[in-house]
Amino acid sequence: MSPWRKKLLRNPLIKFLASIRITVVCLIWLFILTFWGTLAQVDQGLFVAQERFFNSWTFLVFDFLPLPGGQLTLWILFLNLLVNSLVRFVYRWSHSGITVIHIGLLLYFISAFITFHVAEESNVTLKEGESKNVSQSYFDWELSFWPQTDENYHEVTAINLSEFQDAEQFFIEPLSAEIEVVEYYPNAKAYTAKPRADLKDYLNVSGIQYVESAPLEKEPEKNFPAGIFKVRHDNKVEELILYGKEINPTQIKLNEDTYNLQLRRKRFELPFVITLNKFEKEMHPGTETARAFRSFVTIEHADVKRDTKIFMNNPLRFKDYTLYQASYAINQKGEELSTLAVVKNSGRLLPYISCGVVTFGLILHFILMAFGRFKIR
Amino acid sequence: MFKLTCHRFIIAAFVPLAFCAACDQAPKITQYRELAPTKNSQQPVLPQQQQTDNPVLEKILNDSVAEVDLRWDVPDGWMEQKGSGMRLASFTSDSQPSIQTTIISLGGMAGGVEGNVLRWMRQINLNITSEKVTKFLNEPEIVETQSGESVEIFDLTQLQDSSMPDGLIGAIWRLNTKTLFFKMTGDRSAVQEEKPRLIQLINSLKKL
Repeated sequence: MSPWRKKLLRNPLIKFLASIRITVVCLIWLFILTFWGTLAQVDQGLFVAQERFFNSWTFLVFDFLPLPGGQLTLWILFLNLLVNSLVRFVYRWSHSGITVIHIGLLLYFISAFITFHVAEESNVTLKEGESKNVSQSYFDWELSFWPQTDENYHEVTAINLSEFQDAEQFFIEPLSAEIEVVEYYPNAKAYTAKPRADLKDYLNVSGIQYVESAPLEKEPEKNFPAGIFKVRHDNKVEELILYGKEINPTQIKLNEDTYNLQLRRKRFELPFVITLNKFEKEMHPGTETARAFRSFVTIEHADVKRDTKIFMNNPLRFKDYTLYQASYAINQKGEELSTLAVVKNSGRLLPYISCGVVTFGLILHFILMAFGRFKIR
Repeated sequence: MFKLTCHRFIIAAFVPLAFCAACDQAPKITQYRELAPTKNSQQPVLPQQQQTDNPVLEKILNDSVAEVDLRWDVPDGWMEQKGSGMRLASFTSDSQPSIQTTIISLGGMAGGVEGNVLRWMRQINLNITSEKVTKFLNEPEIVETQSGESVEIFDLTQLQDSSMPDGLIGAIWRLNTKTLFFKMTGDRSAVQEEKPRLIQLINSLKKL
């Protein structure tokens, strides 16, 4: 072992981080977390269990005992592998296969990290003949504003409502107006009648005059928020109520212009326009249960159009985006709607690269071992 | 050389990761362009949400409505809000704030009984076997109006289990050239509790 590595290993922190015991404990804990989190999904729902056990740094048990979450455990494992590669690994040509395998494992950690931080999951629902260039979040909500125009595109400004603090104010440049979030309920019920006559009137397109907080649902996509917002412009103040279940925006007049405000699921702009040309579904005979469904779509990007079909195990891939056939629904008019899951992940190739590196390392190691044995003979 | 390259790679991988982890924050205000919905792809608008002073649009909206001269008595404990367009009236309950009841009038069969009941089931995420659906559709509760006509009541709360939060009771009155839909929604237990008032409303209906 080289002198500088021996010196590093004398450092108590480095020695601790390089301990193989940490590797074993982390792997066992990951096994327990996976088992526990999988069982917890039954009672707590998929999203809550995932956030609690796998995406968290720590989580509480019995409301007071903190235990390491998946994110902390993986970071410790990553640091353990990193430090071991610096101080313990043997770097010789005869061990190059093992070195490459471990580099592949480090790449796995890096790809998991990148996917966790850059991947975006959303969905887009289309009727036959409908085109969209935005997808919407499953869980996050935004307060959107856009001017009322006859243009083909709306220029939308949106406030991310998962990031604000109470009574926070935002200056919206396109409106030259200040927006204050007076009250916001992540899940709410809305009423057109006020419980008391002395409560103030609010502007709302659906006639909603009162909102109250409701308990959060186990499945977060079933939460519909509501909020009371103040819009200040040129010494005028408009107070409005917005509710997540409203189909249409509420309009306000600022000077001579009309603006639409809506509380809706957070939107992500797509680099293409997708049009649903036709939706087909097959039912299991004699039932209302769908057996298969497929969407015939056109993707338009930079004046280039491409027709394709999306169905189970046949997603559409476009740059960093992958669109999967997720589900379908029938609206109030009896029209069929196709829902496509949209995943944006610029690191989607990294796991495949990691796999490739590990595989190459394994093959290299086997060849070197075989060659070594042949040489000994 | 190989050793040094590996060490440099490893350190080079760690630093940006640590930096990215510290900087991972979504922006609070974003701007984007969204394709405006075309007229035929717009979501159906509930009558209460229609606010227009455009007489042309108003005529288009009202052409879809089937006019019917009806009188009813508002049940005790309910408040009526005047409707417009296809919505003749809506009601709220003093004691059950989650309850909303509407009377909607549409021309012709308006999708028929099966189509509308299935749509109501989907609204409250009620999934049952097709045998149960058929049995339910064939055995509606019949209530008579003041003028002696039959209205079919479909109480979807009877098909739900107690864990389902939202309830719905619908009623369909098939007239010669139009169909009236009564729909009461709200918390499941509140809907069950207010059912007698819905029946009282239907009993009081009289054609003028």
